[in-house]
Formats: sequence, structure tokens, C-alpha cells
Amino acid sequence: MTDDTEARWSALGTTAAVVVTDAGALPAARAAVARELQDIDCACSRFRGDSELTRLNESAGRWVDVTPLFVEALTAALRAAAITDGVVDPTIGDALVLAGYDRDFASGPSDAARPLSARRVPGWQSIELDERRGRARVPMGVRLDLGATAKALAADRAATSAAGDAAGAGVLVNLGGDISVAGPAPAGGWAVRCVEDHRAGPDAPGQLVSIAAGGLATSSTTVRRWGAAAHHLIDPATGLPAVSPWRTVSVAAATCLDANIASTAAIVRGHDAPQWLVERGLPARLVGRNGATVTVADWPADRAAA
Amino acid sequence: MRDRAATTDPAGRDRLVERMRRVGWVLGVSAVAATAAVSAVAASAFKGHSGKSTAAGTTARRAATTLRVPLPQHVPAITGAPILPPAAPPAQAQPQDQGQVPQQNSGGS
Repeated sequence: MTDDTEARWSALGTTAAVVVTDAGALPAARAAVARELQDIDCACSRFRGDSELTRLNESAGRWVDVTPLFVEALTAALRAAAITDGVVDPTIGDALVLAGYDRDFASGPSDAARPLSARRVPGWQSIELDERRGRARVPMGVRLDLGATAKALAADRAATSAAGDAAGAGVLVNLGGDISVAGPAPAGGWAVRCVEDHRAGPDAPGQLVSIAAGGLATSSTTVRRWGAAAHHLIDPATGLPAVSPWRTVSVAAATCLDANIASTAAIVRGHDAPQWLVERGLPARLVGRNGATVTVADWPADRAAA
Repeated sequence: MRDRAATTDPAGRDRLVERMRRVGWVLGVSAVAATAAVSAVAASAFKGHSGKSTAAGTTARRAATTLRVPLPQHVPAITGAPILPPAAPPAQAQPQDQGQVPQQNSGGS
């Protein structure tokens, strides 16, 4: 446990951390991660007036030129919608705003006491993306939010980039609980504690596991919530924060992006989530609203003392 | 010449009158059908006020606003590549198993 193998700072509205297996590689790895996060923030932030996403949302109905990075992020979001049957949909922007999530969460929701109201989610099929010409268009009345996938994509891109600059060292990138690893893993693997809140202390209930490659992501309705029942995981079928039997779901996958898509989808899908995860061979740990845990697809059994 | 002959021939004139009646009947039916079709399309495209007033609720309302968006003209060619499982599932770890690198939390954010 040495600080010279880990760096932490605030980014993308959450905590960013990079860990390396060789302390000498930390400066280069940190710089590479910071660069990637800056790029993603400029492209995909809903709370920056100068981001590409804001420009696209404010130009609804018109074609907008976008960068290759934004094309990648939007493609990832649309793929997430396609492979989850629209359960993880980027056109929930207005629904999030109506639910009260209309500013960077560090500032708090604008009116936590106001009643919830819903707006029908238009659906990802309404988005037009011209990859060849590097432009995109959203219909009038539609606002995109890439939060469900952009952070996980950023973790994957940052880990890959940092490992390339880390002179053979292994790298772990953690963006608010979305974890991606690249390069050689340390002996015994990367130790990851699955908890409700990524800011939790060492005594918080959870499970300690290790991974050697790929990504691990956790979605939870217990964090980033406001008012009586509002949280940031919107069910596109209702336009409201999802009502789920699961409060927290952790998933391991080949990439952090895929792990995040699956963990978000599992919360929204609700009761059939375990079967959905098993059918895709995705190891997962699901925590019910009463705290009971279910593990599937070779995720190690939870130990009460963990 | 032929019409002039038909009007001077009573049988021919009757046939012409009958033909004109049929044409008029077909035109009338067609006009009614077209009006009905256009009305149906207009009714579904521009839903008017429901006539029911709704009180401001204090509880969550579902789908309060109906949003109509145009069909896309350039649907992205999303491959829909399936979610890939990890090369190996996570393994149970013990605190004493940790080596020289600090553990990380994965949780909601």
C-alpha cells in the first residue's frame, strides 16, 4: 500500500484514480489518464456549455459536425441501447432533467423537493449519426445524455493509453467505481472492493475480489440520489428513475464499457436481470433492496464477513 | 358526330344519360372516401385538446408529455456486437493477498 503507485483527483464529476504496478510509471500514466479525461469531458459533458454534447443538444434538428472521439462515444451509447433492447438509452436527457438531475451533481439537484414528473423517452433510433462525414443530428425535443457509457468508455481509453505510456507496467483506472485494467496485472490480480458507494471506507460492507484483465463496473441507486426516491438511473419505459429490486449491481466484463452497460441494464431490468446476465456469461453480484446478495456466472460467493 | 347521333337517337341518349349518372355516382363515392381518409389521418396527426382538465399532481406522473419525433434518415450502422464476458471471472480475494498496489473500490457514483 504505497501512495507512489496511486494518484487520485477529481474529474468528470467524480473521483479519478490511476494505479500502476511500477511506481516509476505513475507520472506518465497519470498524465495519459488526465489527457483522456479532459478530452472526454470536452466531448461528452452535459454540464459544460462548450462541450460537443451541449452543442449538439442545443442544435436539435440540425446536423452538427463532431469529432471522431464524439462519434466513438455516441456509437458506444447507441450500441448500448441496441444490445439492451433500449434499456440503456442515451435519449433520456430530458427525463433526467425533469427528474431533477439538471446540473453537476456536486452542486446538487436544482429542486430536490419538487415532485417527480416524467417525459416519454424518444428512443435511441431517433438519433442520426453520419460516421463517414463526422456529423450527428438529434430531433427537435430530444436531449442526449451519455453519462451511462461515456465514463466507462473513458476508463477503457485511459487505461489503454496509460499502459502504452507506462513502459510495460500494469495500469488500473478507476473513475467513480468504473474500473478498467491494462497491461500486466500484479501478483494475485488487482484487488477491487465492491461496495455501494465508491467513496466508502474500508469498513463499509462489501466484497473483495480480484481481477486480472478487462473491466468491472458497479451501478447503484443508493448514490447520486435526491428527494424521496429520485436517482440517476432512468427507466426509458417510464421516463422515471428505475424502480428495481436491486439497489446495487457489480458486473465484470471484457471491458469497463461492457461491464457498465450490463450493470446499468441489470438495475433497470429488475427481476429478470440475473437470468439476463447468466445468458451472456457475465459474472455479477447483485445486492437486493434488503441487502441480500445474489451472485451469478462464476462470480465468487459472497462472504458475510467480507 | 357520334354524340350528335346519340342525342338524336333516344336509345343512345338514354345510354349516355345512364353513363353520366354512373360517373357522377363514382365521383361522389370517391369524394366521400377521400374526405374520410384525410380526416382520419388529420385526426391522428394532430390530436386536439382532450377536453379533460387535470389537477396538478403531487405524485409522480408517468409519460406526462407525449413526444413525437421524426423518423431518422441516417440510422447509424450499429453492429450490436454482444457484451463480451471477461477472460476469467473475478476471484475471491483476502486483504492479506494484496501486494504492493492499493485496492480500489467499485461502487455507485
